[in-house]
Amino acid sequence: MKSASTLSAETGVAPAAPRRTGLNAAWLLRCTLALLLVACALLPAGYLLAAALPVLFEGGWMTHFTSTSLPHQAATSLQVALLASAVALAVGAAPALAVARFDFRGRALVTVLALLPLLLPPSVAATTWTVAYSWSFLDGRHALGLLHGLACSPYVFLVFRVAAARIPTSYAELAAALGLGPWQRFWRVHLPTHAVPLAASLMIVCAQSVGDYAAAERLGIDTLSVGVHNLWLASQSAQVAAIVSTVMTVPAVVLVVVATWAATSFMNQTPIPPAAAAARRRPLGRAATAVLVGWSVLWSVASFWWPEWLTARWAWLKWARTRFADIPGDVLNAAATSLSTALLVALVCSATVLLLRTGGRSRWAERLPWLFLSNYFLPPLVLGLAFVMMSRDGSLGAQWLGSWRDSRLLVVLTETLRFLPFAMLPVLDALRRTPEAGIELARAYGAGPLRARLVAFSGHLGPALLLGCALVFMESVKELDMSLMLQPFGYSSPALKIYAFSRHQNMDRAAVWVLVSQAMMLLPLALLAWRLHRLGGRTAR
Amino acid sequence: MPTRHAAARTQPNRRLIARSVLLVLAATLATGAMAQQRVLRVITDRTDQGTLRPILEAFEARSGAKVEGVFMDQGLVNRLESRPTEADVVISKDAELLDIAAQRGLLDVIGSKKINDAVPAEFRDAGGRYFVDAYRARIIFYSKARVKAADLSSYEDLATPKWKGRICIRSGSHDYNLALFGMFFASSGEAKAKEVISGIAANLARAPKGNDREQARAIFEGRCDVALMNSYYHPMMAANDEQKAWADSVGVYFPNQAGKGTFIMRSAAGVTKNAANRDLAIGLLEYMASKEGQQLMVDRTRQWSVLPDIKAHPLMVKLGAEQGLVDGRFKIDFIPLAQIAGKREEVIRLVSEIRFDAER
Repeated sequence: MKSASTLSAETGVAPAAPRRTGLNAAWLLRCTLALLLVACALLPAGYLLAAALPVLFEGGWMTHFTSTSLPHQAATSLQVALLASAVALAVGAAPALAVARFDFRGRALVTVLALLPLLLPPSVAATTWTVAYSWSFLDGRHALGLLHGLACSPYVFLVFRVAAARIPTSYAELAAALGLGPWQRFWRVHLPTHAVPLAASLMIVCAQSVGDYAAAERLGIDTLSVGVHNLWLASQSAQVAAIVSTVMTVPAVVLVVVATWAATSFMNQTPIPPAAAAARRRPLGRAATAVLVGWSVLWSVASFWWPEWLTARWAWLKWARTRFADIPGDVLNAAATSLSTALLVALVCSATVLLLRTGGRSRWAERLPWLFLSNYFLPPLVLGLAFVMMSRDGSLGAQWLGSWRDSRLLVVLTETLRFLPFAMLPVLDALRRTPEAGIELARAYGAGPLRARLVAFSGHLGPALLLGCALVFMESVKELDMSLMLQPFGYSSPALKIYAFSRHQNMDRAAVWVLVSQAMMLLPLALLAWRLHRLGGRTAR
Repeated sequence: MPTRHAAARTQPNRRLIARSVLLVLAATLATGAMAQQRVLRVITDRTDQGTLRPILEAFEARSGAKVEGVFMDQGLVNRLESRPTEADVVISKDAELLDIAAQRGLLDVIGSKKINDAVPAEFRDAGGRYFVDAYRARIIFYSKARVKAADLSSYEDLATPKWKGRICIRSGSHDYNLALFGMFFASSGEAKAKEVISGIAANLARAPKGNDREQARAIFEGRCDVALMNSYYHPMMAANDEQKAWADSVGVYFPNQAGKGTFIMRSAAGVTKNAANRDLAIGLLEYMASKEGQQLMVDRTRQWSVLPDIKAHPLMVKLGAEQGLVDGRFKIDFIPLAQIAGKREEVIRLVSEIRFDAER
């Protein structure tokens, strides 16, 4: 059965060509590509499981872990994730829906304010707050939940902003005309139509807050991720690490498989039309505008401006002690790594596009890329560990990589696997909205198979890919754990410098490096803000 | 045939091209010259901006070699085990980790007469695979306002009920505390060690969090009265404008001086099994063990030298004098590293079992 989005995408265009069957070169190529993608997506988790399963109960580590601290740590992680989700939805989703649905003075401001926390990694925010203040609140899991909620709020904003631009308001208006009250409309109209962005947002927030180690360790919260890392780092044993990381690897893979099924089976059948059906925005009253802008300003002060002020002040105070000569080299290093990561992500996404074609015609092909999410659910240090193990001396990985193993390549590969969903999911979404007739039309005009796809996809996929790659670049600039594990000799970056200083309680000396990394992210941030500003066309006035 | 304008345009272009070619040539030559410089690869769990940097820079200036480092802070043995061939030298803030690495066959025998002659036997691995380059004491920091030095005596005393809700400490799973707790196991036996570690956990004022300096700050802010920290943090905090008040608010106490002695955290260095630049690697280690290197270590890191004739840093002498120690020298509970490393697994299991790091 075709999804509703596919049907609507095909409305008004020439009927799709009948599905070809049987073996042919293109089919074989697609199968090979699909298998390659699956192998890449599941490689780290698969490797860790393969390393752990034969020795899972040796040494009694698993039994010990599950019978002592694991239940408490899992409960703590769950609480933190729930609180972070609530905060992220309140701070990210509410303004996104308002910006998508209404016209008001300050829409651009609300958008920029919502995106600003992208410049501040949660570990840096946690260190800044704890170094500057010693409130008892900062000792608790609520602080960690709030921190992760604020750090994830830009992603939630992005997801809801993009989704809301395509969800028509006519359903709710129709429901109201039929006499449904606000609660009934919420349960029967708004919740089902927003199920996809809601699920995507919750997955991002949960993955971030459960997988985080640095911020939780900084605040002294004994989460599951902290428990796994402590056992691993204390034992100094890759085997113990593989054993205990199965408690995160297995749920991650299971969750992603369920999410994949839900996204391509259940959620796709919700009647969401393509972008052409985007609703007209209605004007927002002055009082409501003031409340909305005030809400955004309030949260941006907590999530960005206040920590930023502290950082700028520290940087100024320690200006004389800064080794400015290190900055160009570190910036070049980080830029090269982040650009390479973004380019590799773009390459994999392009390969996926070739594999999937358009319109969600192959459900299996549509599901495969979702498997990359499993790497996002693995804590970054665990992902780094998997690559350290896979590239050990004498291994197949080390032989294949050769001298490349001692370069930044491994950092780029791990970051690509982890951050790929940021670009892949928007691309999949855009792909679903791209009519296949476009390819056939281009072919009819004499374009080759690749050229035809380029022409047909560029309108929808280009912006989605650009947006995704901008996010990937920013994440890569901020990334710490995997660089720490896999850094080649002589490698340095602003993120590593921040860590080196903050480990010694010298956040003031780390401040300049925080500003440097933020400067590197300004361009992609501006790109994101510009794309969101253009989303949904001109104002209705 | 080009016009005059076109010729005028092409002339600067040619100059630009010529300059670019020269620049590329110069860059290539410079790269070639750099390629001739020998590179020593050091892997360490110290951070890039920490206390190791001055030592490495001094060695670079002295040897003319370039030192490239991997400063990874955590997971050192894991990486070394996975890639035993990538580094020449390994340096750890916790010598216990080097003992683990040596037991796993990752370190080569150093075999340097200079080091063997200079460093006393108790600071060298029995198998000659690593040596301790400096040490610091893991001692009790206490609130000058709320605690009298006379109230303090030993690590074991911190497990008694009189310290209920008064102790701060970093994570029980951190290398520093694992080593300390390992010493309890090795020195006092399993039963006593469990009693002491559980007692300290029961007396904590808050969940273990932050680094060592964070504990001194907690004392300053009145959150707790005593903390277990490494000795060199006191002078380091005193030298920092933001942290001076923390240092001024605390006194330091070398525990167990009437008993077996105070526990020391040892840092150490060794040569990897497959060092490609073994001569340079030995050169760095010999520099670290030399009087010049040791003096630099004492001056920059405020640790104690392993060479008997290198005096303790004046600030450490001053700190020890408050407790009646002479010349900054104190009684050490000298447990061989292999014994502590052998207890590591038991300690990890205990820390996890009693939920040492849980919220309180």
